Amino acid sequence: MKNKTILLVEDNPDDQELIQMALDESHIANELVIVSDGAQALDYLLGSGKSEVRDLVPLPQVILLDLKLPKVSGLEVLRRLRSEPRTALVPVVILTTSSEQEDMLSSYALHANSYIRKPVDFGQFAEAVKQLGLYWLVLNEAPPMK
Amino acid sequence: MKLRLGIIPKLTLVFVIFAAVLIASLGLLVFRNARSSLQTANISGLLSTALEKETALDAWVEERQDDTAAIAASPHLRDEVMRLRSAAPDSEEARAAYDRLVAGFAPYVKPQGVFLEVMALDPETGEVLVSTNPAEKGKFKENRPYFINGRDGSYVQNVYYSITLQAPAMTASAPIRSEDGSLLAVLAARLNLEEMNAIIARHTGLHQSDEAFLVNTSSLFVTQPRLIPDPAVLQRGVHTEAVDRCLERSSGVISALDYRGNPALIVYRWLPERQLCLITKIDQAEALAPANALRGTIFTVSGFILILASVLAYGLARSITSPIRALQDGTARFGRGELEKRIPITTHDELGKLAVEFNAMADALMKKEEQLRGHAAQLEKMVEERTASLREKEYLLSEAQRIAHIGSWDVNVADNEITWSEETYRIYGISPEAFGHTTQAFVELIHPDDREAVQGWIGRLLSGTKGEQHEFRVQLADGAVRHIRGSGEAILNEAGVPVRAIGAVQDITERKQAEDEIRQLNAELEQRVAERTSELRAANKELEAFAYSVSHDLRAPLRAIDGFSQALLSKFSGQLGEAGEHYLVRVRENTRRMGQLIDDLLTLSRVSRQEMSRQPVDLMALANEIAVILRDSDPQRKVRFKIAEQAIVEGDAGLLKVTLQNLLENAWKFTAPREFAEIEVGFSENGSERVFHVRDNGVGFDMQYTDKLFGAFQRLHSIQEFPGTGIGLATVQRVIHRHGGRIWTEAAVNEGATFYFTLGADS
Repeated sequence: MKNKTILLVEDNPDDQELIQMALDESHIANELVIVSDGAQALDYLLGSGKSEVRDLVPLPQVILLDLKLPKVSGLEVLRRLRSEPRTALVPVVILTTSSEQEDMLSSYALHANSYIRKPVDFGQFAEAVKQLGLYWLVLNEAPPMK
Repeated sequence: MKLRLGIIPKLTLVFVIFAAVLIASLGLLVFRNARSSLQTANISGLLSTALEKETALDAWVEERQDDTAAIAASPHLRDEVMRLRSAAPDSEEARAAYDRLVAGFAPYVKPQGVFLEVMALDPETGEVLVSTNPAEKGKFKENRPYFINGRDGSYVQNVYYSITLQAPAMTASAPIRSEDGSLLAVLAARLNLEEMNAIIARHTGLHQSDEAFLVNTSSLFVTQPRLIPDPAVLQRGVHTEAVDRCLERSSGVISALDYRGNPALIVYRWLPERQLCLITKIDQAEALAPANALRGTIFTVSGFILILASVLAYGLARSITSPIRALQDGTARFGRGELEKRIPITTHDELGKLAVEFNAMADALMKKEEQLRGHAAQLEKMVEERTASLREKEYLLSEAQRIAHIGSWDVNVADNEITWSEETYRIYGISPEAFGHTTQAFVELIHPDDREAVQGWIGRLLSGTKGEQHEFRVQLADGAVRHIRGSGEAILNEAGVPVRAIGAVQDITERKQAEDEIRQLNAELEQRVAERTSELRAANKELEAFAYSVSHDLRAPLRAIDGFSQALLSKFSGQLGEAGEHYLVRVRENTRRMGQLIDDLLTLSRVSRQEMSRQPVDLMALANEIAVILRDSDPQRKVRFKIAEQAIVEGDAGLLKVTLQNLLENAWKFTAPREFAEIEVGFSENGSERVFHVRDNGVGFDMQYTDKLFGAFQRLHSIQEFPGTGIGLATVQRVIHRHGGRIWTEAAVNEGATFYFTLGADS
């Protein structure tokens, strides 16, 4: 359990810190790996580009993916992940401020596992992150890894 | 042909015919009777003549026979014959005796006597002993009947043709006997047939043409016919019907042709003793002359009577018909239009009554005539009006055709003859004189490129196709091109063969040009619309991007503010002091409100630009769902929801849900002060429109602000009283308008509010 990581793809440092804070408050001890744009996320997961050192990092337990990202958008990241056999089954939770239906529909169409809208109220936000951690890290059985 | 006669000629004719028949019958009867009597009389006359002649002839013959016998019995002559015979021939004595005998015979012979010749024959040899005709002496008459029979007694030989005399002859004979009775000689005396002739030919004098004659068995005339004086006739034979019958030894009366070939009434008698035929005759012409005279008389008298009868009949007819003529004349004059003509009533019989009736009829007719004249005048007036109106219509039609540029045409298929209206000629730009009036001439007017299509159209039209309009061009003489729209229909006979086709042509040149312009304008317009659309699309894209940014980028800092405020509150609570904590709470409260504002703005933006997908939606079911959520949000509140059963509309489910959500949340919010809140959702039919309403018994509002109600960020209550962003009703109105509906309210302060809305005809 300990070695299972959470990958957070988020460009906003405030949100990065708030999520870290919320995870801490929920006593979720899994390592939180943070990348701040879509390109980094793809490098990290698929081992291409300049992240060659982590070519063979174990896949995270869950990926928290923002949609509005510099360089490569969240939806594009999701599409690429789902098209790669290695990452096709990794649970991806969309964590975004957008409540646009279109975004929601596109995400689910690309086999996102969940769609969570970041509430403005931190209390609610922290609660959401807590529930999310509990569910994906504790309750959910991840697909078997090769 | 049937004769058309008036009453007078008719009556007269009838009288005359009647009289004519009567007179003719009488005349004929009289004539026939007269003729019959005349015939009988004639026959009687002829018969008596014949009998008289016969008797006279017999008497004459007997007389001559007696004469002969008397001569023969004369003793003197007897003695002389004895002497002659006893004397030697050529003796003196003999000569003397001969002379004495001749002398003795002489008184019996002409001119003193009645005989032509007297002779004595030798009884043995028949030799002529003595004769008054010396030439006869010495001849032998031994085979003559008068000799043979004369030896035994007195005898007359009937008329025979004497070869010696070359004429008819008749001879009587008697024996000359001695005293002792021995036969001395035979005396023969030739009769003078002139006497017989005289007897027979003796003219009665009663008639002109009557005559009598004798014919012997050799069909020869024995006596001279009275009417043919030529003696040569005696040597001629006569063969008429009467003679032939008579020579068959019969007697009778016959009406036949006589020897001259004239029709005659003939009495013939066979005289057996004389072996002769006695003919008495009279010409029919004369026999019937009195009858014919009578006939003439009858005719004359009849004619006279007829004329008299005609005159009488005419007079009678006139007198009978004069009232009828008066009637007729009256009728005729009446018929010619002299309606005031009346008939004088002169009699009181049927004709008089008729005249009375006629006068009554004439009165009635005059009245009718007057009425009719009135009607006719009226009719004439009507006809005039109609004619004027018809002319007006014709003029209008022609003008209408001219103004509308519509002409009419008519094709007689059998004769291939085309008839056009004035306007049609104008449209085709040709004069009636220049146009050939045939289909070929018509096709030649068509623009060469359109001819084939027009011929195809005409073909379809003639095969019975209906309702097809065809547009084509004509090339005018000046080179200009006109656009024509033709339409027409064929009239088929029972066999389905087209006999006639009629239709219209319209000059659509101006319209065509206008259409071209419109087409061009449309193209330009479309171009412009396309440009605008793409501009709009770009603007929309920008707006979407903006909304996207708002939802992302405005919320993220808020969350950071709220998050870190919270971190401050939880992690440094002891060091902030009461005021510091209060400020942080106010910061957090405002971030929350700002988040709400952003969310509401996003919703408003979404309901404005989101594409609508219409589908059946049950508004009441939606209301129920929302009511459940509201109840769950605050289970302590006592709120009674009154929601109608079902109201299915066509609309966008998401947008309608936003609308109901806003309205019900408002109702929920503004009834909060009420201990027993009531929220009613329902609808009513207003004509063809369905009006929905959401009613509450909340705090209501002053109707003077109702125009501000639906503006964004407009609020009628303070945030402290009722929280809200002032965007909800703007969103509601936007959705209602997008559905083509209307929204309005009724409210009063503290008396609740009712929101009414409709969803437009399509919903």
